[in-house]
Amino acid sequence: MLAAGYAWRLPLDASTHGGAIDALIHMVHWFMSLLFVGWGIFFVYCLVRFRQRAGHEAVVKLPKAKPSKLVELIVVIVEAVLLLGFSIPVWAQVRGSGHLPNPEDALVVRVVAEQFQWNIHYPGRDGVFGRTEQSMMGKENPVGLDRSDSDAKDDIVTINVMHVPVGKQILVHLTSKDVIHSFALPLLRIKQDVIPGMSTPIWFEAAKTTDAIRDAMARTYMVEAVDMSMLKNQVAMAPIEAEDGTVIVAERADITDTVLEAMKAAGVREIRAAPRVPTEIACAQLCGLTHYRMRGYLHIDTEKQFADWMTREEEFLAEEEEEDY
Amino acid sequence: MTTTAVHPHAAADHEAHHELGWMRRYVFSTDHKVIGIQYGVTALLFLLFGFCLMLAMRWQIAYPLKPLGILSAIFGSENVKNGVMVPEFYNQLGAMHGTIMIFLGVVPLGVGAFGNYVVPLQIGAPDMAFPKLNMASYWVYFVGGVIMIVSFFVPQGAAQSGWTSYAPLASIAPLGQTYWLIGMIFLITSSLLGSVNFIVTIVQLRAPGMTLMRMPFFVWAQLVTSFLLLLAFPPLEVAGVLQLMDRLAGSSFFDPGGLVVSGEARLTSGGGNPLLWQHLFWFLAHPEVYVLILPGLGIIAEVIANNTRKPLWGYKSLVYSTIFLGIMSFIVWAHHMFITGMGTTMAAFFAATTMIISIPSIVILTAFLISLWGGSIRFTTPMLFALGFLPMFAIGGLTGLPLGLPAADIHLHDTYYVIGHFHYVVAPGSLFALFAGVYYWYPKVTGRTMSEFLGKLHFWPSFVLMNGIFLPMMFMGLGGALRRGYDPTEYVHSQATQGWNVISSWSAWLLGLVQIVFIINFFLSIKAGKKVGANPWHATTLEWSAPSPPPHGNFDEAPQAYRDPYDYDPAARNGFRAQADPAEA
Repeated sequence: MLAAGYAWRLPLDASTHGGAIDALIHMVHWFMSLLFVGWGIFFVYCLVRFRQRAGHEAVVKLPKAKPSKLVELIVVIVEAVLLLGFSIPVWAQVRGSGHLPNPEDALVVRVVAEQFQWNIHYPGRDGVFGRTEQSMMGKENPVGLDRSDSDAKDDIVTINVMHVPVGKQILVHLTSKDVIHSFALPLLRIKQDVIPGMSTPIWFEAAKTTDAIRDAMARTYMVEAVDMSMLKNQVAMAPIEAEDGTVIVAERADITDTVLEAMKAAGVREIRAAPRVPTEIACAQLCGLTHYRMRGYLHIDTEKQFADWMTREEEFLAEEEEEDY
Repeated sequence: MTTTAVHPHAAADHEAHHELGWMRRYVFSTDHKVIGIQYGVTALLFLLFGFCLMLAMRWQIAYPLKPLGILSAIFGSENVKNGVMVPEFYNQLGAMHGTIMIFLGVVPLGVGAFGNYVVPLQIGAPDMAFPKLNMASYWVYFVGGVIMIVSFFVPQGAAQSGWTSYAPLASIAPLGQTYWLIGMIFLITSSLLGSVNFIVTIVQLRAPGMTLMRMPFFVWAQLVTSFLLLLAFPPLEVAGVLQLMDRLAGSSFFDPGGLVVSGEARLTSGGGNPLLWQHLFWFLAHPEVYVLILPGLGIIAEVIANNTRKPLWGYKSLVYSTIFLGIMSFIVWAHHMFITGMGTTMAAFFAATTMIISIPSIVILTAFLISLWGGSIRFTTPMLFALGFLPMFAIGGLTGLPLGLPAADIHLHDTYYVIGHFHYVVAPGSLFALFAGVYYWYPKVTGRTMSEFLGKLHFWPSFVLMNGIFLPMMFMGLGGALRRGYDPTEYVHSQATQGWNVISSWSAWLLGLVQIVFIINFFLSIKAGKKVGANPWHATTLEWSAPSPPPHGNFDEAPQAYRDPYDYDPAARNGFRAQADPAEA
């Protein structure tokens, strides 16, 4: 296995549709590799056998090369199969408008992108999104939700935090307030540009919870060989103690520069760590100055975790309403 | 097929030419060779500059937020805070690296320099059809380049919305974007002037006997390239003007209206569409990929035929594939836009055209590979670069396949996989071909050869290091690492591939060092290179029948083409029959 930082394969897939995408990527890479190795063998053979040397002369007239026609035919057939047999059906399933889930069976969410945050808008228990107005948009009300609208009363709006239940189809309507962004969930094989002036629907279904993904992504790092570029936004998967029993880092606590230095000073040799929230919402389209830090956190919950979170949010909302009065 | 005689007036003018002053001979020259050299030197300088921008970027990518050291002083206090490059400067470097390498480096070198210098010689013409237009083309390009460079010094610096300048980000970007747009309008105008000139020259000024199917493949490649430039660039020129209007005149061609930027409502009439810019941009930018590669393929054909000492295999297949490639390149553009929300039907159409366009590319590569069979291969420096080109171009081409399959593109789009893919096409691809061309035609231009020893010292490390830069990008892309990230370690999914960035950066910096060998060789050989005659490579095509360097008007006598371009044969004297040689015709 290569050291940390040298992964060379597809990352973990936590979606129900990602397997088909991964299979296609694997297939096309096998095909490319075979073709490249075949060409490579022929190429090297020619360079050795037909190198200029005493007593060797070029052959001017070559017979018609049937193998080249065969290679071209094979390429055409394989490409057609990959395209028509795999890529288009998968695309139609994932992106085709006819395959969008029924809103009544899915969790429907609006995502409103802006420089440099993801605003998540849930319709609440009534399942109906409240009215939004451009003129009401501001720091405290990023989606411009008009709370005077009866449909808006139970709407939940979060910034950079998105909770979804595992095993349920999620229908996301993507819009942007300013420039083009791209809603990317690499571990769920989702990427969709978010175009201002348009509302673009996408769907996904998570097959693993965030906790399960974190456990699966945990790995052991040699403390002396690692730096913070490998451990940023990661947490310890088990508590680490110094020889005198002092806790350097507790389980699920953030690993920081200080923690790393303390571990080195205490002679800790290795640490098991994993991303705090491995399912980040990244922006895949250059959107300005701090595009690289436009990050949301997707929490894939169990049904109970999701219900608890929703209840907490409703309580916050109720508290806010009381404060307003 | 009929051929057209040398333009009678042009020939007469050249015969009757009088001594020109230094400025007219070397600065505002109308001689295609001088203009070719001007293009070549300017484009090489821009390539070096664009390459240096990338070397600076690679520090931040490999060692995010680590101080730049002595480089801090060079970049200035606005661009470096506490010794660390600021994100806005990183975005400028990214946007301008792409712009400069493509529009000011590779294309002017492949078309402006090699096309200008070699095409008239290869078809037996005394000059380009419109020499003054040719001069105008260079100077318009030069002005475009100066505007791009000046943009670094305007308030808030150069363009920073990527080389693709997607609206609305570009519409609201600082002043540098305006300079970018004006610069692009100059560069596009230059290309249009040049492409018209090439087409007329190739159609009208071929020497007697130079039928279309006797033209060297390099000329075919330039002809198709010129049509691509002529037909694909105008939509981008229009788009550039429209974006300029959006920025300066309050129009909203690419602005849908109702935008709220940094908390402030943007007051525009609206009604535009950001995707319109992408369509207009990619309608040029995909054919542009072939503009970047076709001149290179032309050079590879010349070098391979000359150094295998046998005719090119499948000349007709090469020509027809290139024409087909050119036509198809106009209907694949939206494969860059699968992720914008494209439906199944459109995705299927553009994916199908993308798969179809891979076929002529494979035919061309296969023809070059089979051309090696049965040869007597000389491993000269130009041939090493040509041979190095083949597997690199293969990787570049093959890695386009998963990106052209919409479902696979969901994961790979906007990742380092895309960067690796197109850099394999244009860096160890096009640039290796252009290096092959420099080493191959240098004796024609200067009358001296470049050092073979230094040439090999340039090639081998470059070959290894190019892969050191770009192969890691493939792994990073598969891992989902996103392009254009100022700090790649911000996203946890990218941390798993961050080590590759360090390898990639060190390879890039070492590659920069290796290019010093080329620069020394290039300048030293002007005076110290071995003196050679008209045809040091024992090559067949017409340019090798002209003196080295060719005089004003190119040929001592009006040339004629008596045979196919690659009549290499061990049975002939010195193993070849020149196109201009009437013997055994």
